[in-house]
Order: sequence, then C-alpha cells, then structure tokens
Amino acid sequence: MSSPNPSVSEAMLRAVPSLRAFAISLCGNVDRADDLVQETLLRAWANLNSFEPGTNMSAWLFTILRNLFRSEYRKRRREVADGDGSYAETLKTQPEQASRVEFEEFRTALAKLPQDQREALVLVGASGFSYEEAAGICGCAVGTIKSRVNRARTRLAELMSIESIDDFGPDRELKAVLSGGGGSNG
Amino acid sequence: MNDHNKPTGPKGPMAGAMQGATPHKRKSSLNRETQIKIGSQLQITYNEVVNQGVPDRFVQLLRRLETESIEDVAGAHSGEFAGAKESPDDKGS
Repeated sequence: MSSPNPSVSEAMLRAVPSLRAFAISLCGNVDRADDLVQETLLRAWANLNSFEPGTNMSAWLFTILRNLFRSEYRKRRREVADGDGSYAETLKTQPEQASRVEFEEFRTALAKLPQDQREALVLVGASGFSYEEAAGICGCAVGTIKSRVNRARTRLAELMSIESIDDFGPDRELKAVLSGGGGSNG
Repeated sequence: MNDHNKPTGPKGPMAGAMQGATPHKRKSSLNRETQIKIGSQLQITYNEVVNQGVPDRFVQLLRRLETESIEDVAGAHSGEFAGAKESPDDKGS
C-alpha cells in the first residue's frame, strides 16, 4: 500500500483535464472516457513504485491510460466503432452555429482515422507532447510517431477537402443536422 | 430530416480563435490553409474538454486514495474498466 503523498495526488489531479481530453479522443464517449481516467488513476496509484521520480508524471499517466484502453478495446472491439456523430454527443458545449458545421466535419473526420494515427496526432498536436514523449507513450519508435502524425494530417486534409467540395450543395448542412442532431436549434 | 438549417450565427469568438491559433510548422505539400484549420480545430476540440477542469469525482477519488487503502477505494469504484489490479501496464517496453 502506498503512503499518502499529497504532491503525487496534486500532480495526478493536474493531469486529469488532459487525460480526459485524450481519453475522449480514444473512446468518443465522455462516460467511458471518465471511467477510463478513473481506472488510470487507480492503477497509477497502485503502481506508484514503478513511477520514476523526476520523470514526466503526465506522460506516465497517458501511457497507463493508453494501455488500459488498448486492452479494453481488444475485448470489446465491436462496440467501440466510433462512427459519425458520436463525437457530436461528447461535447455539451457546442461552438457557435456558424462554425459548428465545420467542427462536426472535423470531428467526424478525426473519428475516421485509424486509431494509431489519431492517438499520435492528438498526443503531438493537442496534448503538447514531443515526438519522443509520444513514442514513449505509444511504445514505438520516434520515426513511427512522425509518420503516423503525417499520415493523420494528410488523411484529415483529404477528408475535409472532400467535404468542402460539397459546399455548394445542401449536403453540408444536412449532414451536420444528421450527425449532430442540430435540427432543433432555436 | 428534410429540412436543413443554415448556420446563421455571426462569427463568434471561435472564428477569432481559429485564426489566432498557431499552426504547427509544416513542410509537406498539404494545402496550408487546410493544415492551419486542422491544427486549430484539433486544439479547440481538445481544449473544450481541458477547459472543463477536474470533475469532482476525481477530486473525491484522490482524496480517498490519500486516506484509505487502494483496495477499499478500487473496490468501491470498480467501473467499466475495472480489473486494474492485475499486472501494471507501465511504460510498454
């Protein structure tokens, strides 16, 4: 049993907001993401002796969270399919209507990425980890992370530019309504 | 389903945030505007969650961990992802 250590729990709490954001990008569902964060904190606490003091607590927690998600994901692969629209439900606060369509498109595109690419992109492009840290979290080579990030960006750009070609049709708004349940604004 | 809503809102703070966000430096041949859009939308999407702060359940959880045994806390909190007490998944070496 670990001895109580306020500075450790403080560090864990500080990591919670970004752990949640990462978990949501993996699961596409807030409730599951929060359960995943909770399991991460429990497991981290139970294994504090494997944390090397002076190293990055946040990166360590991200590693645990990712591993937990991976092992869980293998068990219930079918349910995790993260199709169009699930991202729309993850966020209670929606951006302004004008930009909302774009955000739905973005989230839909992001959810379509292969998991390896999505997590690499999120870790580097949003969580603020270096390529080296992201490689440590994902247990792969730095070059692998770089190529995943590049492929993720290319794929997102393709998905989004394909969608923006639809600008001169009603599909764009219709799609947002379908995926975001946005027909009931006002 | 047969109706579509036009986005009618004025440009809000989000529009400014998107333009103000710093894109990652790029050297690929991807359309620069698209890259900026991807970078800033990714960050905005992520930060929407980050800005929600720490939900109370996690504050309570860590408080309990400080004062009670991990077994008691984990037992009370076993959720979807329970099973955390097997071998530790640390740095996947």
